[in-house]
Formats: sequence, C-alpha cells, structure tokens
Amino acid sequence: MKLENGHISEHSLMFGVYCFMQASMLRTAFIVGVTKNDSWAMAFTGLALALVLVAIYAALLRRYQQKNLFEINELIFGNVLGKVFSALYLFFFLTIAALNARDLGNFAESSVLPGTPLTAFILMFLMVCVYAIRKGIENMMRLATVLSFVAAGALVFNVVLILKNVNIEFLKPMFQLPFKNYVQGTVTVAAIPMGEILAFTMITPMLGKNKKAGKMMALGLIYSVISLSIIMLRDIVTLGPLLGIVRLPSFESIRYISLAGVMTRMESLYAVILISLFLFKTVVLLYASVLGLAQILNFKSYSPLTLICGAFVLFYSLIVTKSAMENEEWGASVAPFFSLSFELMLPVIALATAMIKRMLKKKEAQQ
Amino acid sequence: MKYFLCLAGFAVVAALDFPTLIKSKKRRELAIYSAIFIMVLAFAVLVVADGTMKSTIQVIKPFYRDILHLSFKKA
Amino acid sequence: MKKSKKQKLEADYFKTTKHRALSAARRLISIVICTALIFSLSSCWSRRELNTLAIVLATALDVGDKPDTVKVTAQIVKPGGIKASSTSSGGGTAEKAFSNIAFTDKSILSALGGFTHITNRRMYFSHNKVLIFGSELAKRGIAEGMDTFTRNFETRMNVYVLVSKDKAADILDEEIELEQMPANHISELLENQGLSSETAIVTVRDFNIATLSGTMAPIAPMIELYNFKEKKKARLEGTAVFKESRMIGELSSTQTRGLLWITNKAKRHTITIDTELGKIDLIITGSKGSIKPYRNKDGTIGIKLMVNAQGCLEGNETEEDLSTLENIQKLSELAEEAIRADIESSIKQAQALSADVFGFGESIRRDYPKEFEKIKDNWDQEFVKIKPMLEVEVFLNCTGGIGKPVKEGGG
Repeated sequence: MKLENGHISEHSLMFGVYCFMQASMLRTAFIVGVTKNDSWAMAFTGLALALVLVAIYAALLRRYQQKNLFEINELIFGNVLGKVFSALYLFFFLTIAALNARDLGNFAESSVLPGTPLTAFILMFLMVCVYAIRKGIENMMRLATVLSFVAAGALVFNVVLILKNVNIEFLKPMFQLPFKNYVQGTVTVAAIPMGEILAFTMITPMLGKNKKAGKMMALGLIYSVISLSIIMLRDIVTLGPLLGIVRLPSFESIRYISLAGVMTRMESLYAVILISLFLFKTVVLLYASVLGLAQILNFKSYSPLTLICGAFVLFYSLIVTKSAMENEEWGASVAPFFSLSFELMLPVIALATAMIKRMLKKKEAQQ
Repeated sequence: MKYFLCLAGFAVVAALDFPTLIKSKKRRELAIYSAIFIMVLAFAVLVVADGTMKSTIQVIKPFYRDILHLSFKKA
Repeated sequence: MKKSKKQKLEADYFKTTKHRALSAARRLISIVICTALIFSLSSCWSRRELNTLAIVLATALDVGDKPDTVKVTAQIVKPGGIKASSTSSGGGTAEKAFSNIAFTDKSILSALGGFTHITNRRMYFSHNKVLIFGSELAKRGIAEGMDTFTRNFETRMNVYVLVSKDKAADILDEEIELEQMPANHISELLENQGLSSETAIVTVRDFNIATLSGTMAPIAPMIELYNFKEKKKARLEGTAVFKESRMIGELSSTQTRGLLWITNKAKRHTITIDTELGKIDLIITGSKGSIKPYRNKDGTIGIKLMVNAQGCLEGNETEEDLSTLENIQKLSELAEEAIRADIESSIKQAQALSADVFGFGESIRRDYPKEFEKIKDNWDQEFVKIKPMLEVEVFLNCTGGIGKPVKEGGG
C-alpha cells in the first residue's frame, strides 16, 4: 500500500532543499548574535555538521529502499514502538511548521503588512499551503526549481545594488571571539535551518530509487550554504556593528539600498520572495506531517487529513510562541538541542537498531 | 464573534472533508477522522478562549535547560 | 451480455448526472473561495489611502519650551502646492509645496502622537529623507532620537543626519527658489558635496555604526541659515562631533576636509595655491585614503595615514607655462603640502576634543585585536597621544584643455 504515487526528479529534490533552506534566511539573527562578523564562516562549519546528519538519513534510506521515514520506523522498531517514534517526529514536524508560520506572521505583521491581524495572515497563508498539498506535492517540488532561480537571482541583484554602501573592513578582526561562540554558531546553524531537511525523508521515496537521495540533499545543502554565506557576508559588510542589534539583518541591509534614487525600497521584492520561500518550506513540513499522520493511522489516503492538519497548525502557531522576543531567545538557547534530539538522536537510534538487528540475523543464519 | 468565526471555519472544513469520507465508506477512517476533528476543534476553542495559555516553547524550554542542562547562553 | 451493456449505460448516465450536480456544487464553492481570496490580494488589513497620509520628507528635533521636552517639527508634502508653483514660472509668490507642523511633548513618540491633535492626516515616515537636530538638543543628547529613528520599521537607516547651528525647525522654513521643498533641497545639497569634499555625509546607519564601535566619535554635518537678499537660506558649514551621544565640539570646513581625506570619503576638491607669480587652481579628481595601524619595534601600535590623489591643473593666473614636467612636479608637491595641512589641522582639533572621529581605534581593533584589548579601556588618553605618520601623494595627470596659459602675445 502506498500513500503517495507522485514522482519527482532528482533535480527537483535538490532545488527543493535549496528553497527550503533559503526560507531560513530570516533566522540568521540567531547566529549573527553569537558569532558577529564571523557568521559567514558558520555556514561552512555548520555544513560539515549537517552533512553528517544527511549521511545518517542517506544510510537509513539506502537500507530501506522506497520507504519514507515513518515506514522505516515501523520496519525497524515494529508496529507499536515504531508508531511511538513516528509520533515524536510528527510532533517535531508540526512544531517546526507552526514556528515557521508564526515567524513569517511576525515578519509580516511588523514590517510588510502592519495592521493585519496575525491570525488573518497565517490563515490565508495556510490555506494556500493546504491547497498546494491537496493538488499534489510533486507540483510544488517542480515549482521549487523556478523559485530557486528567482531567489538566487534576487540575491545577486540585491548584493550588486548594495555594493556601493559596503565596507569590507567590517569583516575584520577575523576569528577573534571565544572558541565556544563558534561551537554555538556551528551547532545552531546546523540544527536550526539545516537539520530541518529531515522533512525531506518523507518525500524521497517519490524519487523512485532512493540511492541518490542523500547525494541530492547534500548538493542542495551545499548550494544553499553558499547562498547563506553570501547573505551573511552582505549583511556584515553593510551593517557592521549594527548587525548585533537589528532584529532582521537581511531586511535591514536590503532596506538600505538606494541607488540613484530609483533603485530603492527593495524590501518589497525581498518580502514577496521570502513569503514564497516560506510557503514552500511550510508546505514540505505540513506534507510530512500529514503523510506521517496518515501512516500512523493506517489511512488509505492522506488527503482527507490535510485540511484538519492545516487548521491545527494555524491554532498551534498562535500558541507555539508568545512573541518575537521569546522566539528569538528560544532560537538562541534551547532550540538547537530540541531540534537535534529529533534530527540526530532519533535517526541515530534507528540506524543503530537496524544495524544490530542485521548483525543478529547474520549470526542466526550462520548458526 | 471570535467563537463564531472559529466555528464557521471548522464548519467549512467539515463540509469539505466529511462528504468524501462518508462516500468512501471506510467506517474506521471516518471514526478516526471524527475523533481528530473534535480534538482539533476543542484545541482551537481553547486557544481562542484562553489568551494566557503557556506557549509550547515555554513548556519545552525548562525541560531541556533545567533537566537535561542543554542550553546555550544567549549572546 | 446485452443486458449488462444496457445496465452499464444506465449506470454511466446516472454517474454523469450525479457528477454534474457535484461539479456544479464544487464550482460554486470554488467561486465563493476565489471571491473571498480576492480580498486578500489587497494585502493590507487596514487601508491607507494616499489622501489620508501626511508624507513626511524631513524631521527636525529641538529642545522644547518647557523643561525636559522635545519639539518635533515635520515637513509634509502638499501635492496641490507642487502643481501651483510649477505652473507659475516665478514660484516666489506661489503657494508653498510643503507645510511644517510642530508639536512639543515629553518624548519624540508622544509628540508624534500629539500630531493627531493638530492634523487630520496620518504621519507617514517612509519617505523621510532628512533628520535635523538642533544644536541645543544635540548638546543635551540625541540618544533618544537615534534610537527611535532606527527602531521604527517605517523609517529607514539611509536618512541623512544633520545638526543645525540654531533651531532645527527654522532650517525647514528656509526660503528656497530652485527647489520646492527644503527637505529635497537639503538632501540633494548633501548628495552634491562630493564636488567639494568639505562636508561629511552621514546617514543614520553611519552614525549608529560609529556609536556602536565604542571608540569612534560619531559625526554629523552642520547646517545654518544665512541672509541673502533678505531671504533666509540654508548652507552646510562644518561638522559636529559627538561623544556619548552628546555634541562636544565642531570641526571647521578645513578640518572636515582633512577628515575626509583620510577616511577615504573625499572625491573632488579644488586646491588654490598662492604662488609669488599668481594663483593656481588644482582640481583633485579622485583620492584614496587609508588608515593603517602598524606595530613598532617596542610592541606599541602606531598609525600610518596614506592619501593617494590624482588631479588636474585647471586654473592658471600666472604667465608661466606650468605644463612642463618640472613645474607639474613642483605643483604636486605644493598640493601634497595643502592636503597635509588639512589633515594635520583636523587631527589637532580631534585630539583637542579627545574624540576619535577618524576611527583609529576601530582600525587597531581590526588589525591588532589583542593589542587593542589592552588599550581599549583608556582609549581617550591613548588617542590624544597618537602621532600618526602621514604619507600624501598627489599625481597631476592633466592640464585641462590647454597646456600653456592664456597670456598676451603668448600664441
């Protein structure tokens, strides 16, 4: 029995990962608060850590061809314990989806659509998400290619326009902060935006053959890391010490663009692209939750659960955090560990169990 | 007003979802769906009614910070 | 067989009618949803029509009449006024294209709230170009103003910051002729300063970056009113120096020029040299300045200032042919001397104020962070002691359209 019959190409997956990661550029404030003017390097050290995570997911996916994360859980741990693990992942996906919806809501409320109630904005946003999932996630994945090029193009455009106002000296002194700041920066960047691509393990069976899933996820991650470091470099050389105090560094540095009095007010462009990217990210997370829920409940089809899950995420996002400040504090303190316990701990347990089971089986066969 | 809007929203969800489920004649799925629907509705009403509810991350944070001692200091 | 075929046809018929009914219902629902979604296309929840907004182009902050108050003056565009003055070619007597309103209250934001008592329109700060502090307020402290104008999402960080020698509100009332709005006049005035390089151009971002660095003294250009044919007009003159968000002194135009030479902000500038034969004008067309800290043999840190400029000979009052290589060499030495004098004067003034306007501290922190940690805490004393090495080089690469001077019988 298969819940999802769609097919996606390998490149769609790669661009999907890229889009998914680009949506996190709003969250760079977590990292720049810690590692200041060296944050751009954290993208690369974080990548090293995130590639370990991808290797673990790839190992799991290779062992169980054409199965998604929740099916793998049941195969490894059996019906009951497997469902408990799946439920934990489900909680994680829903929480991340709610946090992202709320993040975007806060952004829209404060800077793009002032006066619009948060609930109204998130409602509209999630309605589109639900619609996208109902029409099939494969369309969304195909759209990711276009979206990636738009996002990358806008990034290049913004960087070129701001070049007039930058000061390269702001990058100095390099690597003078206490070592633990770099550890914190690396773990944060690996756990918060990068590790969240765990959600793609629900989509990889659509590739048909699981073999290249890991490679494509890694490639997507590498491209997005390049973008991320460019974004952070741009913010550092534009804002300098201001970086430590502004709430949305990318937004502020784009707001500063003013070329010949014509090329100004670029943040509206940024906002539109950001909302599209968040839409993609939330769709992936919501899809992972819906598909997983259908799997846990042994449904024949996941589509009847889409709307109600969307409704749940709407109300969940209203209470998942109280304010932007709380969200920020959470992101800088506990969030990396919370994310890592799902992104690292649970998959490692699953992989270890699978390996032990296999070894036991081999022994039995030998005896 | 807000209760009305919330209930109206759920009525739309029900109107869209239940007919297909009933038609598909899968009793088990229908029953589970109804249970989920009622739970989400109850949750929604709680969220709408109680503005002072603790946020999720407020609940999770002490667990990680104070019990597991896993937390970064905010810079 | 036959029967079953008939049955199948019947079933198909029922299926299609049922399907039709269903699709009609579906279509209705989707039409309703689409109509509902149209409302979300207008994006904002609340509407703000153009004719209910007061678009602010310039803001002036002054000390209020009562103790511990601040007076906020905002210059608002009057779209009707723009039309009126463009049709009447003189413009002098036509209706003004702007209107200034002011309110005094305990803080900037409460004064902005107070505007609701005197104007029916909602203040809109996204297009604010200029932020002027009265010098009296600047001397008391501008932290509140800078914070408010940085924090707000409606204002931008590329707003120009200025300090007026007298009341800032009066600057917004200057009588202008070519432009229609003083705000535009002032902001375009600043944008043109590259032609003379005697005024620092400072935005809210630049000011904040200097403040946040800890050792650097923020600066802002100064503006004042003067009388010209019985009209009050504004002009830029000198630079205000801040420390701990209070204005502590000024740099003259010459000293500002020196500051701009070393901080790589100078673009064009005319140097007039008095020689025994007559006056000679050299135009500097481009200049590159840099601050380079270096380590002395005894481990202390010194500062080296380098200015590399190119220029042209553009005016020659004398009868001498100055385009010969020897004369050009002499002239460039004289130009170097002039630039060096500017820089020395500005360093002297900055050290007298003990305000690091150049960012010497920042450059040491960037290149020698460990050494900087030791001197960070008493940077003010360290800065006064610094004797920077100066290296100025001017290269003259053209003499304009003519080589030899225009003189009697010279052809």
